Amino acid sequence: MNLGTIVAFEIRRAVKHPVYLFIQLILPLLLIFILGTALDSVFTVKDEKLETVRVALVQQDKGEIGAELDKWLRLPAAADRIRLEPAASRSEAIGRLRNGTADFALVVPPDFSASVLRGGSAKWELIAGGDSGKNLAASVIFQSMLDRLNDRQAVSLALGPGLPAGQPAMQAATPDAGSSAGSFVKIGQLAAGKPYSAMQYYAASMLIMFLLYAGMFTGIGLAEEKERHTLARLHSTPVRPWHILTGKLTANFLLAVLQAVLIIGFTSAVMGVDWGASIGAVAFACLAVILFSIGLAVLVLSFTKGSGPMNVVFQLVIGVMTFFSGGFFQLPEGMLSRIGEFTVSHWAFQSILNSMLGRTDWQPVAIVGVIAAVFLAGSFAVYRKAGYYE
Amino acid sequence: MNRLVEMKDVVKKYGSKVTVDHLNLTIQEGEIFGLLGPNGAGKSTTIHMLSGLLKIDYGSICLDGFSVAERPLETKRRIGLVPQDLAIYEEMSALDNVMFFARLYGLRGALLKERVDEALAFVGLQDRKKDKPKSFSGGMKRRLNIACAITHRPKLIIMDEPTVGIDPQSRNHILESVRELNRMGSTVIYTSHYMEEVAAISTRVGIMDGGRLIACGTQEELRAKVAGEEKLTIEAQGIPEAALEELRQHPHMIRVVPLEEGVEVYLNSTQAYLQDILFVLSKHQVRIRSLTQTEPDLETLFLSLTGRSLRD
Ligand SMILES: Nc1ncnc2c1ncn2[C@@H]1O[C@H](COP(=O)(O)OP(=O)(O)OP(=O)(O)O)[C@@H](O)[C@H]1O
Ligand SMILES: [Mg+2]
Repeated sequence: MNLGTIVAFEIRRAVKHPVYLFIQLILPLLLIFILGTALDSVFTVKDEKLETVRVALVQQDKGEIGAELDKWLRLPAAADRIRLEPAASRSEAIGRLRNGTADFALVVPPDFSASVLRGGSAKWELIAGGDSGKNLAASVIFQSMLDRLNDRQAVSLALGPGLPAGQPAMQAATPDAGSSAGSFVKIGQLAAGKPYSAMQYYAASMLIMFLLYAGMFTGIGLAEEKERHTLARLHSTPVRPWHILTGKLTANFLLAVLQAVLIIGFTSAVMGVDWGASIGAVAFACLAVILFSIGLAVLVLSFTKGSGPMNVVFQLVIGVMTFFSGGFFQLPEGMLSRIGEFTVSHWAFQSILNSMLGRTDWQPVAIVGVIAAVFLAGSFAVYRKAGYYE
Repeated sequence: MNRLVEMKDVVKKYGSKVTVDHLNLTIQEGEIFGLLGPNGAGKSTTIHMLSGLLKIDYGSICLDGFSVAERPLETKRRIGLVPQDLAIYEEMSALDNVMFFARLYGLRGALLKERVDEALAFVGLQDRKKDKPKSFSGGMKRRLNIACAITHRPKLIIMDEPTVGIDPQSRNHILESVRELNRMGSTVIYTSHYMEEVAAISTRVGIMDGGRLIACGTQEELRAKVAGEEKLTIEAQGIPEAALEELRQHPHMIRVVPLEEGVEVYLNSTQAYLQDILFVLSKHQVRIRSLTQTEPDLETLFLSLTGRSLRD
């Protein structure tokens, strides 16, 4: 019953703190909104209409491949991105690039087909214009075409000219052209094409980060009570020391749970963030992060005096964990993200992202749970040794 | 009378430093026990052990028959501790503060409300109860600090230097409230390094120094220990060391204590030797501004026991 008194008082105390409310509720929502909106274009794998590239085409090849090129260029997949501006000669094409009536030029030499099918070197000339984005788009499109031609060259060398019916190599190139243009767009993304939005991504990462901050406030609160002697006074009342600690932790735990519910509720209702179907995984990841951060508070409290060190330790731990788990921005595959695997943030993040992606993978959820449980138990054990006061 | 507190051979060490040194002390029910001692004497440490805030390294403390170490909840229930350092929640209203601690002592319902109002009225904060201590003066905070400790009408109220750093008016208010609490049935332990405060309210006094209880008894008993001494305070500027040395050489001199502006001399009869003292001072051309002769007090006792003044 004294436990209840302490829990209730602690909650009232926290809620009366406007700074606390701002930092723990308004700030995360604000950050999710700002980051989610600002970085939206970096994340979204929209079927964005690329601007059509005007290609000055100098097609001098009257052979087999030249005909197929013409056919290929007129297919919808290519025609969407390329508007052909036939040009009579290489110099006319360059003139068009100069005066801006074309963005890119392709010169196919007269002996192209013959040379390819003979196994000789076949060269298209790609001439870049002034817009690097369009250059890239065009060159990728033609490159994919060329790749196919090279395949075809190989086939032709092996089987001799006069391909068997179906001409599989060239046909395969057709549908592929679109998707390879698509995959080019993805290379420019940070995500290797994961279909969640920036808003979702930052909703998850900021939620985790601010749940860790909940632990920091717990720790600072306890350290401050030590500094301000109210903790000693509490220990002079007929309440078991254990109840004093657990009462305060319980209150902060409940507040953090409420915080998670409000952030998830608000982002999904107002900002349209889809947290996915595995609400269980999301909830479990949140609980684990909260318990971990409370454990960290208890651990730091056992070793340090004062709210200063508590603040420093938490800022450091939260900063490092959020960074390496990709919480501030997506990290490239490799060392950095491997380091992330040693953080609780990473596994919580993956649990939530999985839910958003509609995947059911219980591994990260289990890992985050185990980390939190072990850490919490360990910090309580240390704390019992170190003692609560004096 | 009942023995309320019994400390036997109590020791507390910080590292190798002995802070409380084999302390034996008994406090009877109904007393106002003044614990007097200079800074660092070990008063707060003693009180924290009694309140269950500190482990006792050696010896035992019993309160109302319960061992503090073995039955902490029983003993804590009987104590109202007013800590030396203000221990209130600055961002919660005075009422919230008192209410919270009252609940922790198990008060509920109508009784809770009644006792909380009573405590607030007792310290004169009834009309400021909705305000946060942030806006209070030092004296008001001290009074709130007291209110938080008395709602459960504890058998023993412990006040650790409750008048530190406050104006004389609040100080008198607090001293008066100590008497009132005692009249209402609580035994009081009151620590201070102000001799006057302890002398004004205590029925019995213990003097601590360097972790040891160097004297204990009623004020009369303690004064009797220094009955043979009289103190003469001489106000003067710039008394040369040679003059002080010559005073020390006087055959009936007990002690010479140089002050910032003057000197205190302790003799078994100041009247008998007044001429000698004045002679020495005038020989060294000391211009005397005033002379005061006082009866021995607790300060005198402390000096005679330790050779040091309480005040520094
Ligand atoms: N936690 C601690 N660690 C080490 N030494 C301590 C600790 N607490 C107190 N002391 C030392 O114990 C001695 C007694 O301190 P205590 O606070 O009991 O004195 P006090 O009589 O209450 O003095 P004051 O009038 O200044 O309150 C001091 O020398 C102090 O430095
Ligand atoms: Mg003290």
